[in-house]
Amino acid sequence: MTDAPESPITIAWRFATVLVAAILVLGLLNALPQFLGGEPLGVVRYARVEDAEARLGARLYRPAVLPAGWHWPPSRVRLAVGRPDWIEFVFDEQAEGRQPRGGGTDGDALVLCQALGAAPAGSQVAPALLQPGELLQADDISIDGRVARMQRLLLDGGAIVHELWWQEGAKRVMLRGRVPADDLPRLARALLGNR
Amino acid sequence: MGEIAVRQAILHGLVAAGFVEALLCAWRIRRARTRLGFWVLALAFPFLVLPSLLVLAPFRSTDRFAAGWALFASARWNAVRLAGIGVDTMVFGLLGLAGTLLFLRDVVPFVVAAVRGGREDDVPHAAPSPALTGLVDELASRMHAPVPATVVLHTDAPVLFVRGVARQALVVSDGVLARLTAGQLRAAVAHELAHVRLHDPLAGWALMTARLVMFWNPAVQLMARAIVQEMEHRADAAAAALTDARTFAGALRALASLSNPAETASHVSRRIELLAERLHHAQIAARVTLVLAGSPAPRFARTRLAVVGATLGVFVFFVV
Repeated sequence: MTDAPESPITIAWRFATVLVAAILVLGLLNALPQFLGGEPLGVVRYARVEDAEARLGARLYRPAVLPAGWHWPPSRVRLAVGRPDWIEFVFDEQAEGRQPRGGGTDGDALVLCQALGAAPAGSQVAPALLQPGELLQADDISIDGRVARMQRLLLDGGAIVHELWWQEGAKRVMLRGRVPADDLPRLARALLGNR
Repeated sequence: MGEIAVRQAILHGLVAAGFVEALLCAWRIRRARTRLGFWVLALAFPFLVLPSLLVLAPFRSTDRFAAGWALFASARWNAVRLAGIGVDTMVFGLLGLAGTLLFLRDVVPFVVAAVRGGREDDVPHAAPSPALTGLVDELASRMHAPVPATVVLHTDAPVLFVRGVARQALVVSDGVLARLTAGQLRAAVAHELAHVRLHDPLAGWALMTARLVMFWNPAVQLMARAIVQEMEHRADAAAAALTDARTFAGALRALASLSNPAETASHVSRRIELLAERLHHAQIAARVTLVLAGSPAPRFARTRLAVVGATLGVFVFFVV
């Protein structure tokens, strides 16, 4: 039995088919975890702040003071890869006699995001980390001589959150939470003292 | 770093093996020599390509690369938990166990036989006949192979193999000499001398060393077995070309029929014996089919090999 010799086009076509199938299979396997309780593509989760610092080789902002009822360490530490990379700390609210709540982007948590590396003014936190919201109000305020922007946002689901953005040299830092607006600048001053 | 290297060795081995197998099927390559080249290429990835990547591109092991660039990052599966254990950790643990079992499955019988002392020195020898040594000399000369010593075992058991790396010997039993026709014996001896000419005994030791070094890697275990199988097919093709395909196919069937399950170790259950016998006969049937069908040389074999090697090199760069 003799096979007819393959043409170069047939050889190339079959090779391309196998290559594309291999890429699709691996890509699918890489994407699946986000549908099974894992993180979205481009996001890495760490067990502790110290693990993130060790893996990234970077010293991260740690708040010296948290508003009453919120406790350290953060319940969630995540990295979103991009330009720049963003690190997210999510803090839980500890209410007496109740389980801590928070750990999400639903407005029930205090979230601190910081850019790793240079981030131009106006750059936003990666959507994979933080749910975007509708801007209701924005005001410029001063924190220790730095100009910061306080924003009030409406999230999907009706939650109202406050965000405080400021530039630390080339780095952008952001606080978000459903806390009184006065608490965010106070926390920011604590961060600046602990860098 | 060690854990990263182990995981990536398994991953790269599986990717390379899967990619090569898929291409061999898609291209319908049956020629043993060509298939052997592709399997050796795939085996090179966990041993040569991965260490190079770990040294030359250490940034591949960072979270930024895994999250931002990798086509597949196995660590992402650790966020998916089963019974409190990350799926990534669980899967690699199972793969490591599978690799170890595949390795032990082939090594243990070999070690047990050596310990029990079932060696050919314990079997009475008979002097090889002038006709037999003349046959070996003639075929070795035609195949441009070194002439091995000829050892005849005085037993009915079906024994025909070549052993040794530095000092090679063709070992054959009275049982084989009595039951094969002259043509079948000629074809069977040609098969063994093909192993000698192609340095397969040395390759076999190299493969066993590779299997030992990565005993936990199931991809390495499977690829090494595939290489051994292709070496057999390559020797089949050489013997069929030198003698006659039908005669050689007859020799394969005759040798297979000489195997008697009752002679295996008594402690092996009858069902396992039957399963092993069926598997053995299926393998013989596949070899016979391949020999009779012939295997044309595929076009642009070297070019295909080079392209696949380059593509795989780029591919595994993005698999962490």
